[in-house]
Amino acid sequence: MKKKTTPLYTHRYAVRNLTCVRGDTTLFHDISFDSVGHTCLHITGSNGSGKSSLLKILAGLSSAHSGTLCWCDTQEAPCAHHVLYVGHELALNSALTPYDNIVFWAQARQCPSTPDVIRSALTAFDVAHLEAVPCALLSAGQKKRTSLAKLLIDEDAPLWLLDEPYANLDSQGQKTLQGIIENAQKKGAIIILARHENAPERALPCDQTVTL
Amino acid sequence: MLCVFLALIRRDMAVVLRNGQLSSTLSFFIMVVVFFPLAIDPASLDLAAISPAIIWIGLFLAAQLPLERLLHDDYQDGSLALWSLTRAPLEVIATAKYAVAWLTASLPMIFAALASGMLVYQWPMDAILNNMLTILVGSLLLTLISLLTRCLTLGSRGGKGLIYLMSMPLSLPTLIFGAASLRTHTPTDLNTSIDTETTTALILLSLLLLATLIPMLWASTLALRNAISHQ
Repeated sequence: MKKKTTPLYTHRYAVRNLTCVRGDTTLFHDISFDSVGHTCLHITGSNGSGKSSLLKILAGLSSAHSGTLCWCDTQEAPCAHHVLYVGHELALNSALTPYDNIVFWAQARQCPSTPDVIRSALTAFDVAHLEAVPCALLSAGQKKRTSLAKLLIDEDAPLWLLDEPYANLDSQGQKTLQGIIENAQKKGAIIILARHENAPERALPCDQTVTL
Repeated sequence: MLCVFLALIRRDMAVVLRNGQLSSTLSFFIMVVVFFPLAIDPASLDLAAISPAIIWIGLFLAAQLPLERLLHDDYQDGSLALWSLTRAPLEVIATAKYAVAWLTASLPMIFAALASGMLVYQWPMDAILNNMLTILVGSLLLTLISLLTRCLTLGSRGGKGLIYLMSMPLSLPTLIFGAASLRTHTPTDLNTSIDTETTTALILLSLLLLATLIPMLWASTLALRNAISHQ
C-alpha cells in the first residue's frame, strides 16, 4: 500500500493537434491545449461532438487518429495510475454492493482501502446507508454518487478526467462534488471535465474552456 | 502487480458467487453428462466407449459459459476500462479473468466429470489419476480458447455466432487428444497397448497447453486492449 508522493504542482499536460476519427466521421479536428496543475479545464460541445472520446484519449484508454499527448516531460499519455477517470459508464458491478465495488477498486489502485476510508467516502456522497444493497437496486443518482466516491479514495491523483460529472446528480450531490473538485484543485491536480454548453457544471471552477 | 491480480480475483470470485454462476455452469455440465445415458438404451451400447465424447462435449460447452459474464458485463459497465487504469498491465487482468473462469467453472467440473465417469460410465478405479490429469489439462485449454474468443468478440455486435465458429477449430486438437487420453476400460490381454496410447495422448495434450498458454494469453490481451480502445 505504498504511495509515491510526487509534488503535484509540477504536472503539466500538453495536447497538440488532436484529431479523432470514428468510422468515416471526423469527430474533432486539430484540438490543442495546455493544462497545468491547480487548474480546471472544461470541454464543451453538443451531443455527439466527441467529448467522451476526447476524455478517453486523454486518459490513454484509446488512441487518437493523429496528434500528440505530452504528460509532464514525456511524449505520451500519463501513466495509467495517474489518471482518475469517471466516465459515463459507472463501472459498478450490479451484483456487488457499493462498498464492495469501491473497496475492490481501491485495492486495485493500491489506495488505502480500510473500512474507515471507504465508509467516509461513501458518507461524503450520502450513500453510506446503502453500502449493503446490491448496486442493481440503486437509483441512477445513487449509482452516480457511488461512482463519484472513487474521487475521494484517490484524491492525490494528478489528473482528474470527469465525463459530465453532474449527470443524474441532485443539488446536494452537486455541492459535495464541487467542494471535492475545488479541494483537489487546491492540492494541485489538473481537472478536465466534459459538459454541454449550458449544463449545470458551468458552476464549477473554470480556468479554461475548449469547445469541440 | 500481484496486489492488483489478487484484488481482481477476489472481486470476480465475489461477483460469481453472488450471481450464482458457480452452480449454473456445474448443473449445466451435469445435465449434459447425465442426460446422454438416460436417452440411450444402455443394453445396446457400450456406455464406457462413448463416455469420452460425452464428457468432452459437456466440458467444451460448459467452458464457454463463465467468461460471457465475467468479460462482457465488465466491458459493458466500463469496469474493464477502469481496471486498465491501474499499475498492472492488461496482461494481468486477462490472466486474472482466465484464472477466475477456470477456478469457478472448470475446477468443480473436474470432480463432477470424474464422479459421473465412475458412477454412470463405470470407468476403472485405477484410471482415476490418468483421467483427472486429462480433464485438468483439457479444461485449462478449453478455458484458454474461450478466453481468446470472448476477448476477440468483445464489443462487436453479433459476435455471439462468431464465438462458436472460432472456438470449434481451435478446440479440435483438445477434443481429439483429450478423448484419446481418457482411460475408460481396464486393459485386458487383447488390448494391452491401451495404456501407452492414453499416456501418449496425455503428453501431447500437456505439450499443447504449454505451447499455447503464453501466446493465447498475449493474444487475448491484445484483443482486450483493442476492445477497450474502441468502446
